[in-house]
Amino acid sequence: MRAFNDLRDELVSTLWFVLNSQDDAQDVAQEAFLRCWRTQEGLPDVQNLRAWIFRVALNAAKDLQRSAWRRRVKPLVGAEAMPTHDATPPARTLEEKESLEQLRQALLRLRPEEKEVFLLRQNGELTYEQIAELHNRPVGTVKTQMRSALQKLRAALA
Amino acid sequence: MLSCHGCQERMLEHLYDLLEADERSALQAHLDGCPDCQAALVRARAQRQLLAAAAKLDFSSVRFTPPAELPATEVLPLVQPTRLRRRWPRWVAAAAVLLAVGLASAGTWFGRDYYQAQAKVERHDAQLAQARQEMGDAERTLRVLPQQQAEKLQALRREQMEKEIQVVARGPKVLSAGAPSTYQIQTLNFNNTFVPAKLSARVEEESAVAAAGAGGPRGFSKALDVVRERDGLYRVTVPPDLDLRADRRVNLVISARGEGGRQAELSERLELSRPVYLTHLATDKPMYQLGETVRFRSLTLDRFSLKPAAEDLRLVYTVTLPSGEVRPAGRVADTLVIDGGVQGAAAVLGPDGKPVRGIGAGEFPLTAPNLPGGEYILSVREEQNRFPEQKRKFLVNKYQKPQLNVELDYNRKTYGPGDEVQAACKATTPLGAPVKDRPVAATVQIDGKTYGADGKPADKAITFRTDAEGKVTVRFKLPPQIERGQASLAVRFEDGGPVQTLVRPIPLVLKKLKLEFYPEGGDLVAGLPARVYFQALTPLGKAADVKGRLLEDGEPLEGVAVETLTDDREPGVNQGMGRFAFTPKVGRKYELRVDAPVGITEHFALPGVKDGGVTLTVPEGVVGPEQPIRVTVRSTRQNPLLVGAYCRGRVLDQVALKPGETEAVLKPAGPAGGTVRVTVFEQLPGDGERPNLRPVAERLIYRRPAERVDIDLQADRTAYEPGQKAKVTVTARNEKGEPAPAVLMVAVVDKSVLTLADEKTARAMPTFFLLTTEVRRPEDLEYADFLLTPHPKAEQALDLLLGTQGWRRFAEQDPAKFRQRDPAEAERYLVMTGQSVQPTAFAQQEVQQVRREFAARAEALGDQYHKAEAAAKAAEGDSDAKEAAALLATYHGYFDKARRAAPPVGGVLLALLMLGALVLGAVQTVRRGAPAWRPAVCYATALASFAGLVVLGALSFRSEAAKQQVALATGEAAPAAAERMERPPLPPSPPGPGGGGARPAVPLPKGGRGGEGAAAVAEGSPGRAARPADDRRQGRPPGPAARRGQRRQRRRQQRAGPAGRQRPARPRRRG
Repeated sequence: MRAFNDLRDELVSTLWFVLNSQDDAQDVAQEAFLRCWRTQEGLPDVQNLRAWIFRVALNAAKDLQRSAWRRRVKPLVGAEAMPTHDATPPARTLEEKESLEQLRQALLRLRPEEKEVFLLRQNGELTYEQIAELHNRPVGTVKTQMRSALQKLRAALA
Repeated sequence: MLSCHGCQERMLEHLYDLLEADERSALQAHLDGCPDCQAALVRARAQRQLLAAAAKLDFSSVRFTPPAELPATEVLPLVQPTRLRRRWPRWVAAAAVLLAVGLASAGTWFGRDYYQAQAKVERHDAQLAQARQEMGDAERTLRVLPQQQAEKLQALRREQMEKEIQVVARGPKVLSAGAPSTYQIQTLNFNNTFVPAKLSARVEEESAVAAAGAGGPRGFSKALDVVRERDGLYRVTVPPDLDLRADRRVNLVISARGEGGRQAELSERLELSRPVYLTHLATDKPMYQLGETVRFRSLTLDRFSLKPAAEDLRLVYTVTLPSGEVRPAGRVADTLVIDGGVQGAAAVLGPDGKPVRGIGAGEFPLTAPNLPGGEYILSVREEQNRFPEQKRKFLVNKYQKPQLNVELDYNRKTYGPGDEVQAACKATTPLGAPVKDRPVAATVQIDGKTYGADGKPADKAITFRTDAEGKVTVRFKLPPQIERGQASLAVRFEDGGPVQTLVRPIPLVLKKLKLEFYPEGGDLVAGLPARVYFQALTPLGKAADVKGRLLEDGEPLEGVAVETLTDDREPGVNQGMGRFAFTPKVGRKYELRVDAPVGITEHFALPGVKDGGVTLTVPEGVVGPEQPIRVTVRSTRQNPLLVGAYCRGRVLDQVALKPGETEAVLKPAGPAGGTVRVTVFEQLPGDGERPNLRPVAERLIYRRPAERVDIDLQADRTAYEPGQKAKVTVTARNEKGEPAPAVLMVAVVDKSVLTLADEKTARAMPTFFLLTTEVRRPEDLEYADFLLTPHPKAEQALDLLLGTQGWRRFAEQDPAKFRQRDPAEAERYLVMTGQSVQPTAFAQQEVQQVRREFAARAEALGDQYHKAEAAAKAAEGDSDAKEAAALLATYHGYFDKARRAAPPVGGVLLALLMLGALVLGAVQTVRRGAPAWRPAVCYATALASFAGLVVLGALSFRSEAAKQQVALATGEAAPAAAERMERPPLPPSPPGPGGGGARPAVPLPKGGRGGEGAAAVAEGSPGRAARPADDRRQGRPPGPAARRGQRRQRRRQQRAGPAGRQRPARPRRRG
């Protein structure tokens, strides 16, 4: 539970970017938490708890995305309002806030696989190998997707 | 070596561990020595922080709390209710939408299906009703027709009897322009005894406008002199100069008034410009084998206008076998029809929109047992003899089809001893390829001996070879002495395998010849230049070629060449005719001595020379449609002359010549063409003002018609294999080259059969209608079609043919003399031209006219009935309509079921709704915190449901009670009434067009939509047809119409009181 609370912002943010819905992100986070809770007996076998939690959460997100209703009501990219509060310190300058906003929009516009790779790396701190395993893709592909994501995000900063 | 740019580009990748080991060390090495890149690294780190910040949002409100006491599975409701609460309306909405869409689609589909079926059935019913209506109308009119006819005839007879006098006229059927027409008029009482009468007669013209019934101005009206022969017998003559042009209709109007007693005045009208019909008869080929079918066609046209008859003709075809037995070959109406499938035959319409008439066609299969071979004669006549019977011969042989097509034509019509004979032969294979460069053997047999090419007896045949076109000219000389003259030429062709031998008699002229001379215009007049046409014939009547000299009192006349027209290549030219010119002298005798064929010692005398008279010369015997007819007339007398050109009984033009004038230019108007008679009349002083016109010279010429149809046949291939399909395109164009409508008879015939039959007297329609009806023995005229071709010698040959028709001189002027001169030909000619005398009894004619009118009406009504009957049968057998009716009945069955099921189902639903609302209301009442309006709404719903239930129950109870009451009141009467209502009245059996026998009963309609209880269908249609009766028998509720009837019944019973209820209701018949 502590791990979950420690990871809360990163986890829910990742889910938010993936699902583009605050409700869904929170629901999926809850779902992931419950799934983990139910299987807590097996936790000692987990080598990387953070990666495991992100994997469970992303699987839950995938389940949600696969449901017909979720697909039908999926809003346009960026259509849902960004959460009003973010995790950045209040001392940020206005310019920085604008940059952050641009970056988040750019993040939302990334292709889903690029977005997931970036978020798993950035928020989940998963290694590329772990991401590759999670997505069942070659490491090279994951790195390429990461490079592509970075390139697009950097362009948003320019 | 990594550049600064490359290094800075990879900063982020470096920070995100994306670089490979070597790249990383290279970058690190570069960084160590590059302050700019170190600064860039600092910026990249800031960017990374920014990215990290962007990727992380604040979700501090989110708390993950473990489900402390509850088992893990029970944690789910904390999340799921929210989701369920939010989602079930969606599912319900989706289901509702789906249901609505489904219901709407199904409703649309079935509704469309239903209305289409309904429209189809309505259309079908309308067609059926219309057909029955027409049948009924026709039948009703047919039934009263005999009565109407009897009444009209009775009235007519009464009217005629009141006049006490009747008129009978005897004379030519039609007037012939350029010739006097005499009519004998009889005035009789109704005992057929001559009675004296005051008679006046006139010829009246109806102008085209008046004829069309528009009341336009009348044409000329000329009074005729009435010559009294005795009491009751008179004679009137229509003068020859009557201007009877193509578009004029002329009537002979006779007025008679009895001289004694109260006899009324009688005015009769005889149309003298009625059409005279001619019929051309054609078979598809001239020779048949037993087992084949003779296909024939006849075309009947008005002789003058050459247009099909405007009235109905009943053509009767017969075939006369070689044994003399006559067999019918069909009796057809002359209206051309085309098979229209189930709609029946439809008349083919011409360009004027009227049915094409005058064409009859049929087949005569030569399949009957024991048919003999030989010459058959196909004849066509009209039931009322409206045209002269026409005949066509054909051969029926058991012939073997030749392997090669061989043709043979002699270069002359006749040969004499010592002449050189040339026979042009041509051989082709059945596929049309020439038999080239092959040996040909010719055997000349004369009186049982074989002769060689030099005219001397020989043992062997004369040999030749065909050229590249398969042609060969067989030349040989005849012996100088021939005894009997039985000569034949046998030509044998070989083409590798096939061998074909053709045997033809050699036309020999020995010592006997017949020469006929026809001075142009008719007479040889002393001192006037004359042209003399002549014809040379063998004793068998075949044309002969001659050369000779004209003798004047036994001495040859210099400068006068006498020779028949010949052509080595074109047999049509060789008609044995010729022409010479000379000026006869008074008291001299003229003869012709024949030099060739040699051996003819007889001198042939020309007609005698008259001291005075009139001669006629038409320099151009064949003129074009735009050309004038120039006539040179010479007379020894000083009388004015009238020169007229007449075509098939109508005036083309007339010109008067004063004494001394010799040139007349006739300018025919209109397109009429064909044989034209040019007659010169001498105007002699008459009895009164009218001069006496005496015909003095006459000849025939030919005017090419301005209108024609050119037929072009185009096959899609040049050669075909046996059994292969061939497509032939026929194009018909008029003289301007524009497309023209045409009715065609196309026959595909093996060419070898035509060659074998060697038919020379066949002729095409233009030749028949325009030329050969005017010539003597037209059936013997060979190669007639050639005369109208553009061949350089065709005009000359045609002029000679027409110049030698002096046999018919003044035929129209005095038919009685003509009959005496040449009875057989005169009768044929006068009948064909409508000049044969026939009586017209006007009183009887009126009666016949009435009968004809009614017969025509009866026939038209019969046709109408048959057409309507066919349409009704077609409608009854319409499977589409039947299917539609069945479908409609099925739908109505469903509707009935739904109607019956609606009360119980509705009741159950209302009950469920009421119970549900009550339960929900109770729950809401006991539930804490629920708004107060919720149980109120629930209870209100329950109350409304209950009220609905009560109303429904009351309605059902009332309906059931009514049913029982009606059943009690009507007893057995209702099914019987319904039974009667189902059956529409049977239509009475109409008589046939002749007013005779009954027709089979008209079947009752199927699948009709009479409505339940109304006059509906009797059989076939499921559901609706037998509903009312069946419903009661099967205990089902009656249909709406029956229920309406029941309600009326009930009201009547209520009005009648208790007594009325006990009386069984009398069923009413509807519809």
